[in-house]
Amino acid sequence: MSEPILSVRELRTYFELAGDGWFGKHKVLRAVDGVSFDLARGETLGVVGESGCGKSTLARAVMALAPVTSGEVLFAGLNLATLDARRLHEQRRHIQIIFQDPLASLDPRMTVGQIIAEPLRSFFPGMSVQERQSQVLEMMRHVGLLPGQINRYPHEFSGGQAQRIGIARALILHPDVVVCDEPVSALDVSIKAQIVNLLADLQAEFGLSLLFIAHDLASVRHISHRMMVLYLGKVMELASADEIYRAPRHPYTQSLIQAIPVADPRRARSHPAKALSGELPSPIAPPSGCVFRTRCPYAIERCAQEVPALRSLGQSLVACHLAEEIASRPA
Amino acid sequence: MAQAPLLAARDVSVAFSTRGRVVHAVSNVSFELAAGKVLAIVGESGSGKSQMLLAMLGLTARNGKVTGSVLFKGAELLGAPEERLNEIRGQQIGMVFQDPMTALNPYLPVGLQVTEPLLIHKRMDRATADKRAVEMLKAVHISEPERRMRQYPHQLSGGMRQRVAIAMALICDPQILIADEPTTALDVTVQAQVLTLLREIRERFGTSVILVTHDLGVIAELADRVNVMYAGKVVEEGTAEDIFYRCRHPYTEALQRSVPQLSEARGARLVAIAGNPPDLSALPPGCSFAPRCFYRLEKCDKSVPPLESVGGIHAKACFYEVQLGREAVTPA
Amino acid sequence: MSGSVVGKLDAAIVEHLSAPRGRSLWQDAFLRLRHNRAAMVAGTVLGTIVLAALIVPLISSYNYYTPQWALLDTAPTLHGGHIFGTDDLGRDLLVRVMWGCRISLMIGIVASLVSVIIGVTWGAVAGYVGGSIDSLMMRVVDILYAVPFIPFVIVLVVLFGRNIFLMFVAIGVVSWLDIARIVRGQTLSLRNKEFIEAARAAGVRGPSIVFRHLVPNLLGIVIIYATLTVPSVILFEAFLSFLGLGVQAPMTSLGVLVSDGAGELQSYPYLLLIPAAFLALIVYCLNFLGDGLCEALDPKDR
Repeated sequence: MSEPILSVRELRTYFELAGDGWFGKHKVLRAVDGVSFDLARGETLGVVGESGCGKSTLARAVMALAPVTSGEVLFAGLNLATLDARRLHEQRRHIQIIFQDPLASLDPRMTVGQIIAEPLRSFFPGMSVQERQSQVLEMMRHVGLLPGQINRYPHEFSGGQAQRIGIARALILHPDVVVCDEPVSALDVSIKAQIVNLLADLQAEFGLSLLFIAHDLASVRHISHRMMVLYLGKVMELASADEIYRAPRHPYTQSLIQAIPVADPRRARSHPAKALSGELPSPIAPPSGCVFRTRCPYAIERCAQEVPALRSLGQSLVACHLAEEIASRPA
Repeated sequence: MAQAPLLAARDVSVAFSTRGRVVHAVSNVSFELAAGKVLAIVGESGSGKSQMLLAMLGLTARNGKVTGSVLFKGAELLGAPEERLNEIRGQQIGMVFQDPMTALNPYLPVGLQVTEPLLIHKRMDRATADKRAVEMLKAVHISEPERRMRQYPHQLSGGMRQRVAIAMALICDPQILIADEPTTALDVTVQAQVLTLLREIRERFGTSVILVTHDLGVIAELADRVNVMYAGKVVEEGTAEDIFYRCRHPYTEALQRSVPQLSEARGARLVAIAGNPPDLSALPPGCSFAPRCFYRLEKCDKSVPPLESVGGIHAKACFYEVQLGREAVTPA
Repeated sequence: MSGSVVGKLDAAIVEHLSAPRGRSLWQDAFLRLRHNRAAMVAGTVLGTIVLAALIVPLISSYNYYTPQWALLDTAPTLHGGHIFGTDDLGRDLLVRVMWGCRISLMIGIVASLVSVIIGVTWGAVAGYVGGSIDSLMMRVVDILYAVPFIPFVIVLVVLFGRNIFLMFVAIGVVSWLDIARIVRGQTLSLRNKEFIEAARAAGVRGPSIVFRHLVPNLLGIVIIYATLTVPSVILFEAFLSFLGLGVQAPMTSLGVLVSDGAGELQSYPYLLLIPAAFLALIVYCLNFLGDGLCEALDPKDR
């Protein structure tokens, strides 16, 4: 019962880039640099980080859509990172993905029905046309699409509706895990809430485990049980969603929260959004030791020399040498 | 003593005809911008907010028809000759667009792009312009400004590119800065930097700002006055406090409710606005928001509610009479 | 659940069978094309020529190969049957020009089709597979580019004689190179699009991705390119015929007619002018159509 459905251990994905000039040494881009976590059945793990933190690469590495340099992605006892093509294909029906840009993730030349049916055609080639149609219609009903829309084309839909199509496609095989790569970032404010609610409902109905990736702390927090904060490919903090907000332990998490402008003019006057100083370092040449130290208000010498390990502090896991001292400071 | 507003728009409408359909992007929008103030225009896609801005600067696409009046310092902008508009654009009114990736020319170094307005409008020589550009880059908190001048846009981060775009818009000391969703494409920490910058600009230079966004947090931080647009019309307008604490239009209320706030308890369902954004070529006969409105009355489907004052500069376009918003419920 | 519709499944299936077909991108493009006057006029003119080329030789009392010694080089006349006149062997020029149109268009279309099929497959596979296979395939293209066309065709003609099928092969085999390059470029940019990733995540395998997803999305540019290839193929064939390497007499093509007519320009100008006019007209129309298709299929307009 407490066996996690997905276990990621020390996942690293490095990309090799051409060096400068003809004979320059090849540069290495450390997109994901040692990420570990467990995903329990029926749980939503929110992954938060800003551009360059590696969350999109992480999403794809878990799906085996991006290469894994080292580490393990354990699903049902198998390491997806090292499976051969045939067995990997078999496992694909259990882990599906929803993309960020709904219109870009749907083939513009196919109808809604064809798009949603495609996973069925890949895994159940013998299925009859009627059976396939009825499953497609059933899934459309679940995501809130009208049956009459089955022959329409993606460009005829708004962003929110197109995302529903993407969700239907991801769920048609009834997977165990669904990776959601910023599924609401490209949507309007009023539609975001619809889609987040829909995902929460579908999770309850189908018993899904979600890996929910976003750069927006607030909407991730709403749907997640636990949250993981990434920076330059490393995990900074991993804790329950309530705890992350109530008592953020890592300086980066604290900065993220302080940077969010509150929709309250009086409060905004007294507590305006606080900007994090400095610029994001390049993932090709990350700082030594703790990668966050160049922007951290608490950085000490040790931070430059030693990479902080992810360790427990109360209910959270934090990667910071000074976590205890920071936590004991008055708010 | 009432001062004439810096910018006054009256009954501006923009309509596009394509293949037999008419798309009413903007319908009878009016607003005023006083010197040194920040006006926020809230709306989602299809609200007409971007088209409104383009119309003001004479940048509407050729198949669009613009009617109404926009007075800038008393002189009419709509229909003004191209030379006059060119003089105003970039020099007296600066504009920052949404996507920093596409707002800068990828083939030209940053320095050339930032100095361009100076060379064209102020006819400065290259050396003076470069110096001024470096000052401007420093003012927008770009590190190592001299080095950045020689770099290309792709070598800068998204946040830096947006700040370069702001520097370009401000370099001729315009009286108005128009920013169309300046922080939407940015990370939250970078957004905070840009917000601080915009606040500084208003305080240091006294520039008026028209800020178009759908982010309520940004509005709460910066806006003096707020206009809420839906389906091309203004549905509510007022001060920031009016809109956040005493809102009177169901759409405004629904927007606020649907944005998850960190301060709220987790797990409660987000209050979503049912339905989909309106089709601007086929608007319903009555209130455009009625199909999605929680408080919909029968007369909402039949006639368009006029924009009426409810106190001070606060006005709403809605038949429903009860005050909504936070102060209607128990104060926090 | 927000916005869900509950309905009996059987009723839903019946409803689906009659569900309105959405407007596909092709239909959108076709509508746009219809609005393009120049393209529509060009299409109509071309259609008329094709119809004439098919019908006239069937209904005319003359054929394209029988010499009529009594009527050598007669001028065009509206009376007396030979509307376009006769050539130096007394053959009716109208019928010969119509046959010429047939042959030229046939070569143009078939050769373009061959080159498109080879080129699209080559380019799509190279672009999708990438890596060293891609490099290898593209180096083959580069090498073939270096082969000079005319000597190559001359060699073929010398080896196999003048033959219409040879025309297809020679031209088709040489002109697939451009389209292979273009398709490869497009494939490279499509390959990273999210819907391709989505297909991989849905378990679709390599060849299916190429033929089910990539090719339909490439067709737009392929069609545009093909319509612009046809006129250039026709001109190339005309050029070969002009050099005496084209179709075998008495069969004729517009190129052969132009070549023959050029010799008689001083005395019987109509022998050159009429076929040349048809050649020019066909090429213009195809170019206008191609332009129209370019605009109609342009994704930026969506």
